[in-house]
Formats: sequence, structure tokens, C-alpha cells
Amino acid sequence: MKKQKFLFLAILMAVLPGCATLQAPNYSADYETLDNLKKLNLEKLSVGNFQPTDPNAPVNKISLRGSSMKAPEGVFSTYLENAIRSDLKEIGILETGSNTTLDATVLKNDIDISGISKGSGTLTVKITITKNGTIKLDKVYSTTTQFESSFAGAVAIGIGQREYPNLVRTFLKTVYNDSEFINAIKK
Amino acid sequence: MFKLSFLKSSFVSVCLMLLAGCAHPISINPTKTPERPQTNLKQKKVAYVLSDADRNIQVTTPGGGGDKVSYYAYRDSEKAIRDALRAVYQDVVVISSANDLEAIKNNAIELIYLPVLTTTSSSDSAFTWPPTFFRVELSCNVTDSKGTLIKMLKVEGNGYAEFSEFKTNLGLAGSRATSDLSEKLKKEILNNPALF
Repeated sequence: MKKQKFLFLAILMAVLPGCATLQAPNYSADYETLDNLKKLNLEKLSVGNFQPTDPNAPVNKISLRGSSMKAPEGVFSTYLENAIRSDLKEIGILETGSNTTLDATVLKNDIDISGISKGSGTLTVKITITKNGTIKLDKVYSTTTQFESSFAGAVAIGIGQREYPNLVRTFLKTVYNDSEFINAIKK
Repeated sequence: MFKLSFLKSSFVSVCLMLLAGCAHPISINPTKTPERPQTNLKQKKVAYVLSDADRNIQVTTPGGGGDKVSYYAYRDSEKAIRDALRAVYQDVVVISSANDLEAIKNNAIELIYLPVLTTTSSSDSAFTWPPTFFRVELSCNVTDSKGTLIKMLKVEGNGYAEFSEFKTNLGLAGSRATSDLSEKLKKEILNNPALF
């Protein structure tokens, strides 16, 4: 009986979720996509309102087998905002106070590592572009990523954490390559 | 008897799983890269070579407690390399191959950077696996648009982190190493007038 109890505990140690609070790694862009955008004749853009900013909103909390992952900025809507700011600055079209504004509302944001061998990421965001008060784009974009995960909790949690910037990068690549988005910000 | 043997085998398997070194996934994205100045950028159009195959190379190096860490060295270091170049040159693009003559011509590229990365890591702790030391070595042939070698650069970025620091960011030593690499690459380019 003692040996059975010990075995049970040993198995739990291997697969149980952790209880640490982790931080999502910094974002880096899909640079080929940015290089392509740079070649186009685009309006200057200002970054507007990114929601939700409530840290208790479901989209601002990601659980990786019981471990909580937070954005370095505190909320994931701001993580996305900073990623877009960085990209617009990289291609030279970020301008505070521009008449063309990009707003976003994060509708779904998750890294799912509940599976024993596969994981997935989902990011769904409504993006609105307004030019001189007129809405040029009001569209919901959604991206899902798939990746190899692990039965072992410690490894799966690390993979899930590492996959978050990849999810945002893949999502923004989809947005930046969308003809409707490009048309909304073209001169 | 069968039950006991099975339990013993299971116990041994679990112990092996727990005790054997495993590769923990980390990210080594830089925490900081050089600022791009508004003036005095060298008026050259340069490219660095990085393909999707490079970005998907997963590397494994030592951690602490007999464990290892795994990461995507090129994917995570790309921002460090690109931002170093953007802190020097007016225009920087990425191309997937130094032999992509069409991309070189269409982008009017004058210099091509071909980065090769070597990484190593270690930990002075026997009980925690995240590295406390990380090194990223960059060897970079810089050629003109025709492939003629202009300069070979060698730059090394080092990063250190302690337990109290890497509790939420387990690859912190690696992130500091790529940040260090980025700043040193910028300085190395500026020290070589042949590159501008």
C-alpha cells in the first residue's frame, strides 16, 4: 500500500500542472511581411483604443495546466497593442495624432496545452480602422496555431509559454497580408 | 506477484522520467535592442539572410541539474540581428537566400549579411534547470551584391541571470545574451568603415 501511494505521488509529480506565474516572451515580427508592407504607399497610422484593459477579463488570463501566464505589460490587449506599434514604427507609418486610427478588441486569446501531445493557440481580434471619422475597416480576424506539446507538465508549460509570441506573429501576418486591411490603410 | 512486478517497473519508469535530464523549452528573444537613430544612418540598403528553415532550427544546450534547454536560436535572435543593422543602415530587409538574385536586384541591395549562430549555456545550480549563463556567438560574412567578401565579423553576446530573476522568465540569461549581441553587433559594424 505504501509503495502504491509512493507511485501515485511520483506520477502526480510528473504530470501535475505547476503553480508558478509565468511571463509571455517578447514579441518579434514576421519581418518578410513587414518588408512587403514597407513597399506600399500607406497612410500614417495612429494606434487608438485596445480593449479590454481589465486584468480580470478572460482574454487577459492564460492558464497553462494551472500555471498562470501574464503579459509583460500586464494585459494581453496591451501586448498586442505594443506589437502593432512596433510593427508600424518599423515600417515608418506610426504617427501619433494621425487622422487614420487603428483600434482593436481582443475577443479570444488562449494557449491550450491540455492535450497530452498537441497544443494550440487561438487569437481572435476585431480590428477597426477609421479615417477622418469614417470607418474603413471593421473586421474580425482569427488565427489558430498548432504545435507539438508534451505529456510532462513542466515541458508542456514551457512550450506553451514559448508559443505565445508565435501566435501573435502568425495573427499579425494574417492581418497585414489581408487585402481589405491593406486597402483600408493605403493612400 | 504480477501486480508487485508491474508496480516496481512502473515506479522505476517514473523515477527515470523524473531523474533523467530533459530538454526544457525556453525563448531567448532579446529584452532590449539598440535604438534606431533619427539621423546619421548610413545611406545603404542591406539585407540579412534568414530562411524559414533557419528559423525552425531547434537547438539544445545544457541547463542546471543535468537537464538541458531547447530553443529556436535563429528565430529568437532575428530581432537582435535586424535591430543592430537598423541602428546603422537606412534600409534593411531580410532575404531567404544569398543566391536569391531577383530579391537582391529588386531591392537594390548593396551589402548582404550572412549570420551563423553558435550558442552555449550552463548553470551553476544543481537544483534548478534554467541557465544562469548563456552565450550567443555570431559569425557573419558580409558580401557585396555580387557575393564578394567585404568583411567577416565575429561578435559574442553574453547573458547572466539568477534564480530570483528568472522565476517568471526562464530563458532570461538567453534573452540577455541576444540583447548583448545586438548592441555589440551594432558597435562592430560602426567600427568597420568598409561596411558603410
